[in-house]
Amino acid sequence: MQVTRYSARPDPATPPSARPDPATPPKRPAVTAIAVAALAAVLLTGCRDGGRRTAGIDRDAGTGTSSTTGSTAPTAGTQNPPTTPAQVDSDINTVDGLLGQLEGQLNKADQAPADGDG
Amino acid sequence: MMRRMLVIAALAVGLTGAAAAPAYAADGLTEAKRVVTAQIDGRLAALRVMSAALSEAQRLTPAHKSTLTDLIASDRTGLNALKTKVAGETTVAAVRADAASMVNDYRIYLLVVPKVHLTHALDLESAAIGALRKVYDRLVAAVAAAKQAGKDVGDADAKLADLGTQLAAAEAAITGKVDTLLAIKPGPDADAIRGALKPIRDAVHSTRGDLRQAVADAKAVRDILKR
Repeated sequence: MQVTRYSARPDPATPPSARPDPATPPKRPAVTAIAVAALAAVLLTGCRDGGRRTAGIDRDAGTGTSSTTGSTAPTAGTQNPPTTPAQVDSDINTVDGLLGQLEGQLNKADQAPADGDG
Repeated sequence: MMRRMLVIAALAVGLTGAAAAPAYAADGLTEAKRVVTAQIDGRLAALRVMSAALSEAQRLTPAHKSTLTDLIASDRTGLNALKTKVAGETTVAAVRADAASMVNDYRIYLLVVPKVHLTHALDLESAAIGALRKVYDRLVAAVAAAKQAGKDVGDADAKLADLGTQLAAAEAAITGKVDTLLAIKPGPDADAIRGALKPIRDAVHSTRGDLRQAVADAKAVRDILKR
């Protein structure tokens, strides 16, 4: 590990002028830590968005505003999932089916009563 | 044979509410009982058909199904009791009174059968309105998204507006109609029953027209979005 190497005692064979200044913080470990943290943040964000999409939540739908940048984003759980043509087709087919059944009921309801007014 | 035909004709006239009182032959009691019993059986058969229709009706609300099921059960009980009463009658006049009761107290064909079919029709329309509201919401969102993406949506907005209008009209036409329908009672005045049924029947028909137009609008918008 890089950190272990820099925290080790100075090599006596190294001239003092070539040794790192103890007052100056080491730079490479800090850069590495920042890079790792940034990578983790990116990965975590990706996973969270993936999970939200799996749950049918599109953070950019509706207003086009990211939920991380403003208060105009709809609250997760109250937002409609994005519409697809297949969904609309399915819903319209449902209505067509209901109207077909309605025709049948109306035909029966409109038949003249048997046995006169009984 | 001629006497038998006369008895049947006289009963038929009496059952359809004509003012002229049928003159049964003194020995026509058995025949009168047979005719009225057969007519009761016809009504019981119709109730069985209605009961089966209720069992198969998937779009009836539980409350409406329960009300109609109770009505049918009650009428079956009453008609079976009436059938037993007819069998025990000793005069033609009593059989005639039973025949009048069979018609006026139940109105199976004039009222109960339409109640079942029209209630089912109204519940189907209510379900269709709910489904179309969902379609409407989806299409509104889809058209907005298409516009935002710079797509030409033609007259989608006008179609959506008409869809909303049709849905509002359909909803207004059927609101409260089932309750009104189920509250109609049987009675001797057939015209009054017909008159009470007519606005409900008309509302079901007009709503069907509204829904057809709404579906046409929805399909038009869908097709625009698919282009």
